[in-house]
Amino acid sequence: MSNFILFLASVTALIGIYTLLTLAVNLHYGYAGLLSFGIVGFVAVGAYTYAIVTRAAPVGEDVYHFYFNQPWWVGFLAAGVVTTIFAFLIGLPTLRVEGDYLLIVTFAFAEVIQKLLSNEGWLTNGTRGFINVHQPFRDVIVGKNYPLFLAGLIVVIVGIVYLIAQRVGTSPFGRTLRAMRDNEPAALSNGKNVYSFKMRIFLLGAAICGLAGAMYSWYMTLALPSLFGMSVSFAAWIALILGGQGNNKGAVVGTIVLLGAQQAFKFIQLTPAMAPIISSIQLIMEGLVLVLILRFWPAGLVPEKSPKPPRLPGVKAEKPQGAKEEA
Amino acid sequence: MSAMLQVEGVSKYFGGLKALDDCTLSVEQGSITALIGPNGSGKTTLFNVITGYIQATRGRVLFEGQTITGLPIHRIANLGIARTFQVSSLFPKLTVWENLLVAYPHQEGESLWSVFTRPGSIRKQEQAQMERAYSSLERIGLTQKLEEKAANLSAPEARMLEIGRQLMFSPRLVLLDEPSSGVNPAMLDILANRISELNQQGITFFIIGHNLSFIMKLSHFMHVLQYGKLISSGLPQSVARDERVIEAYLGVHQ
Repeated sequence: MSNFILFLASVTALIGIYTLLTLAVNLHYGYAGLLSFGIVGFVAVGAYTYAIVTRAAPVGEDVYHFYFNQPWWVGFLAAGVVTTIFAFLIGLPTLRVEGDYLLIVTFAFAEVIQKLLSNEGWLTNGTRGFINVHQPFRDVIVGKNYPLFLAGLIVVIVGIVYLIAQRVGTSPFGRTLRAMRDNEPAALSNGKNVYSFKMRIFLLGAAICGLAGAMYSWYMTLALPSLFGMSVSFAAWIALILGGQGNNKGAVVGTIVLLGAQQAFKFIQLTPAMAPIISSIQLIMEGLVLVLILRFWPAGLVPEKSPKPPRLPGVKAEKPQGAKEEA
Repeated sequence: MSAMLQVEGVSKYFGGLKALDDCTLSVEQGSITALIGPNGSGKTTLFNVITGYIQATRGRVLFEGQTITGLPIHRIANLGIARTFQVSSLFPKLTVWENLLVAYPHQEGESLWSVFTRPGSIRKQEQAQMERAYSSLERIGLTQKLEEKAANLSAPEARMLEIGRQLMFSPRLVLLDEPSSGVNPAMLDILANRISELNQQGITFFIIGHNLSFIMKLSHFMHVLQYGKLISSGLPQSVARDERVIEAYLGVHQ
């Protein structure tokens, strides 16, 4: 029983982290229409920044030169800040290209980051990566309680980020993003500095990915180049398409459904010979489900909902009256 | 009356094609000025040059005496020049009211910082804008469709909404590219009346039109383009009698 609870806690933490990524993709693509496939690059930058900032001196065969020995919250904030700076540098040239080109550029960025992580040993410790990454409050909460605590902490952070994303999405800022996504030339002719809007949402999404990266390194207690492959970006994208673009609820629902289904596969009893087959089938199933969703629910499980107009002071519940008049 | 918009010697070449060839014309303050010409005569190209969507090969554009050639699109728009497009410039997945509110320049709620630090002040601004949106909706007759997505509007309704959105802008000069296209003939008079009403409220219009009877009734002054050259300018009645214009539209009478 307690094992099952631990499993649930672990799944919750993982879903929480991926929810952050899906929320970021939703900010980028769902609201602003940016085909940003490189989010895993930001996750990697966040995870490594956290690891380096909280790291102690190298031991044994470690080859890294930089370590700062800081508490977890410094590392966590640094992960957000450094990732944002990275995103700014990436965004400076790339946000001027449109559509499919942005997709290619961000894709390449993520690949380059992964290569850098395995090759720049002085900074990232090469393919050895960082093990035993410092976890927040590890010394206070001991034993089997820790995974529960970590899951709780992640859920709280996801909740805060969700509220932020929701606030941004429903604000006039979010409205301008959606307008830009729908018809960019028209947004320009309305006096919107499209580049600035793209940059700001790009940075916000990247910062969320950076924090998610730090949290991922808490969860895995590892930062390894192999953790940050393209499949991370794909998972977040599939989750978003599944759940519904352009609304944060859809992002959350999509992530829970996708990762829940992936984790449920783990309950299938297998012979070792069957394992590789089943994992291939899992990928085929994911693709199949995605195609079916796009065919029959193109707007996703939770379609984008139109917001209500702001109510004017002194005008109360106008709508039911209007509806009556119409009828 | 003085010239609000001056186009001075503007040429635009696409390779060997002279889309605009040394065009000089002006739009008087407070007028409804029409720009007509056969297909491919460079009307939309001229609008694109004025609003900064494409750069002129030669020449310059002045708005209220200030040179605007070379300014970025959004800067020109913020000077008070609004435009509609031949194709729809609506935001299809946004509701009618959102399509109006989004047009507002420099909204406080468009700053990410203010979104979190000044929600009260943003709410007030939104209410003030919504109030203007209601009056704009009334003028274009779309109050009932407030919460409809723009994608679900009929063609004439969409056209009205585009013009309605320009009203939110408080523009001084509005460039309309084919406002009559896609609007059913029964509604053309209503459309013309609305434009005249707005003109009387002080908005200057520069209108591209194919529907000549619509544009003749509406405009105070006309410019005619052919092969990128200005071939005639004047009052609608005199332009209609100009032989070069008749030739341009109907071909040379042998």
